[in-house]
Amino acid sequence: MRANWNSLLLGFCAVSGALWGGGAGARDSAAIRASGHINIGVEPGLPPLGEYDDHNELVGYDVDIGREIARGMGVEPRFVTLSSSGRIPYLMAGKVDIVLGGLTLTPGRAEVIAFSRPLYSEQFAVITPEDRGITSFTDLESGAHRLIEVRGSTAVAYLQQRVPKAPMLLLESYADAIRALAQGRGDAMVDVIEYVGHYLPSQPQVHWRIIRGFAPPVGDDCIGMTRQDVALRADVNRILDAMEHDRRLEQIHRRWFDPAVAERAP
Amino acid sequence: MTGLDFRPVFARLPFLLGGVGVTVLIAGLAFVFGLLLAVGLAVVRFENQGGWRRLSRSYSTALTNTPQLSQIFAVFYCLPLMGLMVSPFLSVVIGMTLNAAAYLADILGAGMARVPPVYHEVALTLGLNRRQTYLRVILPYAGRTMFPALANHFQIMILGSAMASIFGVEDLTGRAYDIGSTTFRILEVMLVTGGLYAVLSFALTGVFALCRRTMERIV
Amino acid sequence: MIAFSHYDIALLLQAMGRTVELSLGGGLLGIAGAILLTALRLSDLRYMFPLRMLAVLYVQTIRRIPFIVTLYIVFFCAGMMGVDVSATVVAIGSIGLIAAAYLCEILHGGVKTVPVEQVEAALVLNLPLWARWRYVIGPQALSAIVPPAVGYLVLFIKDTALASQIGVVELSQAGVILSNRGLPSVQVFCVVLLLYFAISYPLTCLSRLLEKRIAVH
Repeated sequence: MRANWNSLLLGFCAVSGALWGGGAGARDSAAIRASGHINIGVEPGLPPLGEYDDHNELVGYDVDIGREIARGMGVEPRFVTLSSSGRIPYLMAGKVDIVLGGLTLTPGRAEVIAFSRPLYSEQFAVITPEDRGITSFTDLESGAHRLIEVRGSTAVAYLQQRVPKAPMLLLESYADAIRALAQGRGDAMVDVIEYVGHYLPSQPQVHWRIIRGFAPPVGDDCIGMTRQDVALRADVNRILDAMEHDRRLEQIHRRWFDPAVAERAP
Repeated sequence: MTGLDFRPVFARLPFLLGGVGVTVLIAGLAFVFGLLLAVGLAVVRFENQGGWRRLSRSYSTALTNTPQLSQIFAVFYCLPLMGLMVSPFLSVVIGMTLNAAAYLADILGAGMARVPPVYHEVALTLGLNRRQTYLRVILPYAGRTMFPALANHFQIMILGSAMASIFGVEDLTGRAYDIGSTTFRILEVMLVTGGLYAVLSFALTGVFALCRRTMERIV
Repeated sequence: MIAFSHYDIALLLQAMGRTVELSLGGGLLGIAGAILLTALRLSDLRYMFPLRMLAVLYVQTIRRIPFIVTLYIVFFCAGMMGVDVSATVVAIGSIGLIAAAYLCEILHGGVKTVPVEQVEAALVLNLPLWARWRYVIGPQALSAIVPPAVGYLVLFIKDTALASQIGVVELSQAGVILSNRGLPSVQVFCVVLLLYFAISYPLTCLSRLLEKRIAVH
């Protein structure tokens, strides 16, 4: 009987040790190369960064960037789909090796994960149906208008600080948020217009008003990695530098963020 | 990565515990309204009127053979198209009510079928009309014999209400996910949340056992 | 009707296949787990006591945690322990975990319905273990086990819808993708619900049929 207890105890120790000791989850760049594939977190509900196209293929800016990173490391890319709120938890739990999905560099996040060099910078706008009568960002301060935001996005923390009185409904995706806005479940959304803009044409009956310029650029959009993996960060930055040098970074950016494409949003 | 760290989760425990109330509220509302609807469905079935009876049966068959999540999605997306503007909270309650009615009608129906024929005869002799017979004799009997099944379904609804988080409702799971996305300690918060659900469920089991004993003493 | 492109239909069918895969994989895993757990619970070896207690604790507790929470826990636990598996495998494993607990209750309850005298008689006759199970306990317990077990498998099909939350493109997720692609929500959700019904209803009928068959005997 004692032997059984002991082995049981050992089993528990092994499991909790693996959890506590941590580190086991995150793979370093040597492990990634050895396995022959890299797990890349992308958000499938966030065009132009990531979406399932009409042919059911995962496409987008993040997918292209991810492919290039994998190519630079000489491994096969494996895309793991996640939602905004899952980006950092997935990374910390080792479910992905690197994560994209419009990940903005913030001081809070920098305490727990590491960021690559910036890919591009993003800026907030207010998106609201014209009939709600919101004409400037300061209109939101009174708290009379309900905001709809995506859970886990940088806009949430920004708004809690800037317009603390405004009630907020948190949803899981941009598609849900825009639909909810069109259906009248809320009055306005504050987020990066490049991401949200792609959904506006899906609600043609609504006349959208877009208010810009009230906030400085929110920050840089980067690739996220675990902090302790210095070698992987060096690899990713080296590949991104090379991509900037031979203009691949710019080409990919133009392909997905082209003004002509963004123009589709009224 | 630094392994498990529960401190950020425990620091937000009051917020998380508040979610328990929302969870119980959602399940409770859906259960009560579902039960009312189920009584109607079960009575229709019991009265045995061809077409209506088939309709009531089909309702249960349709809703018990499709996932509650998809049903709530359908309510959430389709009601506004019909011009009915409802909050996510209400969408979830409506979706869960419709779902619960299907299961509860099956349970009540089984209970009503077990009412001994002599009860019907007694009711007739006492000169009770149809409505009185149902309210005073058949439904109480069915409710009592099916109490364990009804209580069990309430427990299932408590677990099912976790889906509300997907629609932006701040129930226990929704709050857990919020904490996870701000502290990035999602495994820790989910472990605590799982524990809270288990405690809640064990507590409810105790409450139901007490109810049952009290009921038996009264009757 | 709606203009589903052939890629839309392909997505729906693929997703339906994924839902069937999750249900089948999770169900089979659950049956295996349930047999193991039940064997543990029925064993009367003294040194198995701690394991037996653990089995009871497991069965009692996991059924009191929402599936979506279990799913998240398994998903992130696997990652933190360095197990590099796809979301589909995680979902199948999680369904297996809860299915094992529910089916164990049925299995355990079913075996207990066999009158003690019969088991004792078999022991007196000196039947070996396999023969006791094959000819005495098995056939009688089966009638109490199979119909509700099939009924529970229907429940697990519906639980697979939650796998969408960890990124598995199954039926309900396909509905969300199509709806986001701009197809009318009402039609998309009707089709999704119908496809679920097509998977689940035959099993419900089977469960009812088995129940009637056994009641006749």
